[in-house]
Amino acid sequence: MSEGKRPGGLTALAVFNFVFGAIGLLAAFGLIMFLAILLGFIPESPTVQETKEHLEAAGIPALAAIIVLCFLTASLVILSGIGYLKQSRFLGRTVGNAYAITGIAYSILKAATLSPEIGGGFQLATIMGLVYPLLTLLLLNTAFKRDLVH
Amino acid sequence: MSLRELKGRHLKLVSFYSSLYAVRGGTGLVFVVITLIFGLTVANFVIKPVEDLQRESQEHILEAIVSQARPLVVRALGGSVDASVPSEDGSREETERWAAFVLDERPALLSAVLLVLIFGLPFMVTMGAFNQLSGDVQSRGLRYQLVHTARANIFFGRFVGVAVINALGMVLLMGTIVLYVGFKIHVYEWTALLGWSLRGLLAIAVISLPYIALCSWISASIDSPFASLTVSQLVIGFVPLFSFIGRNTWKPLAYVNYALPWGIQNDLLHPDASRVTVGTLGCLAYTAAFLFLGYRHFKKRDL
Repeated sequence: MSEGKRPGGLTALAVFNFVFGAIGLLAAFGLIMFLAILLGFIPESPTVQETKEHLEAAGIPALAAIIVLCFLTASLVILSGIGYLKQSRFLGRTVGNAYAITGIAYSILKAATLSPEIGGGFQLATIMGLVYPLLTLLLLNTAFKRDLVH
Repeated sequence: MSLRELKGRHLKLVSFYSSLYAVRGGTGLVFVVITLIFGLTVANFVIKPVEDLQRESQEHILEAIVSQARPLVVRALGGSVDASVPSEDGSREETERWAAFVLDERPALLSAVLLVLIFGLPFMVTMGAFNQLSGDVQSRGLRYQLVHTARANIFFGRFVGVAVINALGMVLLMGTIVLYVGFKIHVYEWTALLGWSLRGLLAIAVISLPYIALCSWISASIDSPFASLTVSQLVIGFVPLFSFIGRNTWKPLAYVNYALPWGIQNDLLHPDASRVTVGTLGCLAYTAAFLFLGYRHFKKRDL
């Protein structure tokens, strides 16, 4: 395909990236609150105590890894959105593919490590978390492959 | 107004490339993402309480599912959950019979998801169907196609292309939900799940057609894609809202609902075959009417 006008789908993908990136950053801050509960920085209450028990089963290293992956995914999705708008080969295609892979890894790690009561386990929400990274992986390497050339 | 210009080969070409480039154009992509997110969110809302119950106890899970889903299903079918509300024309008994069919004789979880999806379907369909013609008319790009084929092939070809993308999106969504319920929840036989999901998919495909046709008409009349989207959503949302509010003032206003398929779309999941047939024929009649009105306008307008 030509290096010409940006297709509408790529613009739509960029907009989705910014929206999901913002949601991802909020989710990362939510996970930091989980860490704060686990480390005892949040005052105890029955709900906090119950959450703490579930988090202790996961452990601090696993939770830290999930938080890092979450921040990384959110950052990559925002950067790749900028790449789509500029039709950049590195920022768009490479970083976009990197986001898709880290996004899939994040969903799998969260499902495998956290208990269902605190958003882990294999649930429909896990599938929802996988939809957009998988769609990105598919579209970047098929429909929009020749549009990210700058 | 003649349809003699319709050529099967041109129709097939226009619909094929319309489907293929729906994602590149952005409309198809937005439709798929919104459909999947909305559909999976609805399914999660219905299924998550059941999963929480299952973690506590596996006993009497089917009864628990039915009691959880009953208020949602009765509301979706247009009934009242409050038994003290009097029923003037025996409609409560009819709704109860219908609810019993979809909850007790069919997988209740799937029924609840299907009924909510059918309610949200018109709005989802609009996201994929609003820009069938308006963008190309606005950019004057349609003139280049008119050199090679007749208006009828473009109009109906794009309608078919959007209907195909819509159907594929719904197959993906329902397939995900059915596989999840089958493998994860483990309370229904696969034959029951697959049979009911197939009927639900066919119902969704038929109910989508009149709304896609309505968007064809609006898209053929308005040059701006944004305006086409806005008008489509307003028309689709205004009709049931006006009917709901208006019937409290004057009962006959409830029939305004039948200006669009809102009044008959749930009938495609009815236990009586006659109601299903009438509902199906009704949806096809709406489709034909909107396509007729849209094509009549499109054929005469300046492009």
